[in-house]
Amino acid sequence: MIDFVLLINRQGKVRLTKWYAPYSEKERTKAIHEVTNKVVGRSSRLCNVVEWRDKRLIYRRYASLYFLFCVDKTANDLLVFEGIHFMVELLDRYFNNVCELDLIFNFRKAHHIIDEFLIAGEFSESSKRNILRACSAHDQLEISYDVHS
Amino acid sequence: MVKNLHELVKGVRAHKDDQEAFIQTSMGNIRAEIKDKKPDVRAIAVQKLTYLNLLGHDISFAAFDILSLMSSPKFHIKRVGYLACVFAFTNPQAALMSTSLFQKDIASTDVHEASVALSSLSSVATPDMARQLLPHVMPLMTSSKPYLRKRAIVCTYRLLLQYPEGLRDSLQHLAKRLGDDSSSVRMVTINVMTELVLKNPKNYVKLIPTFYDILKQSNNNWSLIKLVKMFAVLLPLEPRLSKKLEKPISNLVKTTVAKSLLFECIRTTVLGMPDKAELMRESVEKLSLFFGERADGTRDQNLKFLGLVILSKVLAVHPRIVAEQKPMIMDCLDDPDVTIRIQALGLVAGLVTRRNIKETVTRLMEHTKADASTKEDKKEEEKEKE
Repeated sequence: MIDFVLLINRQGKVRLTKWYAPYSEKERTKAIHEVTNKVVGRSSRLCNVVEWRDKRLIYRRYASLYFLFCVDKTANDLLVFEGIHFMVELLDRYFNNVCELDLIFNFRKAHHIIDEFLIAGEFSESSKRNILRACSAHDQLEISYDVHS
Repeated sequence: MVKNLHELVKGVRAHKDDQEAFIQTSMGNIRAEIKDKKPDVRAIAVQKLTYLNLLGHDISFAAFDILSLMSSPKFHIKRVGYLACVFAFTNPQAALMSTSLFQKDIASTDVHEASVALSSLSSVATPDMARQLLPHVMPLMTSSKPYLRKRAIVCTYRLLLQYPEGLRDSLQHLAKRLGDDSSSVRMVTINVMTELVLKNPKNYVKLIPTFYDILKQSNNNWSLIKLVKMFAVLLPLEPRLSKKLEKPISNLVKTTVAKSLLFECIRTTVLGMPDKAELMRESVEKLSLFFGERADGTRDQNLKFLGLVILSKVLAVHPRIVAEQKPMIMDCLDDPDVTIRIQALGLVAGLVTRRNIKETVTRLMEHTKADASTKEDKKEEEKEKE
């Protein structure tokens, strides 16, 4: 259902990318460029669904970050909104009031959290509790060499 | 001295003026670190590369080094490799090198190793890899751990996208998962089946009774949405289905509070059961919720847009029902969002009759004077009506 996930801030800086469909390196750069131009800076009075190529971009802005999912045209837009919100709540619970800086310095953790929820572009778990439990199990396993982790 | 990831991020943020220079220097260091004997040093280097990729740098040169991390027996190092490979294996040769490693890790007795391999494989597989690895992924759909079953199911789907010939052997295994003990495995199976059904509905007509049973029993909204979506494309293929579905869908329309589910039910009614006028009328009445005010007095633009999109679809089969919503549609002509105005305009054009044409054109002329940007569109619409 989902081709890729993009987290961009209002200046157009990319904070996280997740790719679920085959895009080459060049295609990825091009896609990010086009999508950023379409979405960043859009008035908040406009609706959050934008047609792009043969796909649809569904996004929501939370504070300084745009959370953007690129989906097929057949996707249920409202379901995708629910998914975006679910993901934001997950990050919020894990990082305790998440902010952009958390995602900048801990982008790897953010990846692992999202991986528990979105597997290969499909919503795979509807219980936040189960996801957060799996994440803390992984944290115990992982001996990290980062100072802040 | 090896700077860790945190230092790199801080450094990039600190060097706002000479960022490129700083990154080039760091990249130079990383190229050396990535060949270090100690796997921990290499792991940190690859973490840094993952970050630099985020900033737009191509890291495919490190594919082979990342592969060496993926084969580490230590989970935290393996994981770093598997995360990076999604960003580095962007050319088919690199991915192909990893096939035997994926095969080994998928079969691992360690749940975490297998799951991280399955997740990354979904994003990285080429058609050749898919063909080779599908027989190794499929057995995991019956693993004793639901955690693995879920990942195996979605991975199978992504592999099938690359190697569609594999569907013949995997379909029956996928279909069995619809009756899995774990609710989240069932949900994942439904998600995957939806995508498959949308692509080629005629292969799945025999599963209609199973889907129908699940529809009646499930109370998971996300799964219900997918099932209803599947029925939209299955309805034209099975004439008896329309009669059987009318009641359950009508029930959902009447009782659900989830707008997402309501939206899907209406869409399916319109696409698959256009003759069910009563259901259509109920659905369109409920649709007025999409245009209503929220608690803070504002209206949800997204709901408005989607409401109008659905009404356009209903228009083709039941124009009278849509005509009942005319005041709401005319209001949308005043909306600040141009995409909403254009949708509303399309509807208004479709609702024009000999009786109301004068009133409609008058209203549109007022708009033409007020707003120059949609002047062209409005002139087009008027010409068409004449």
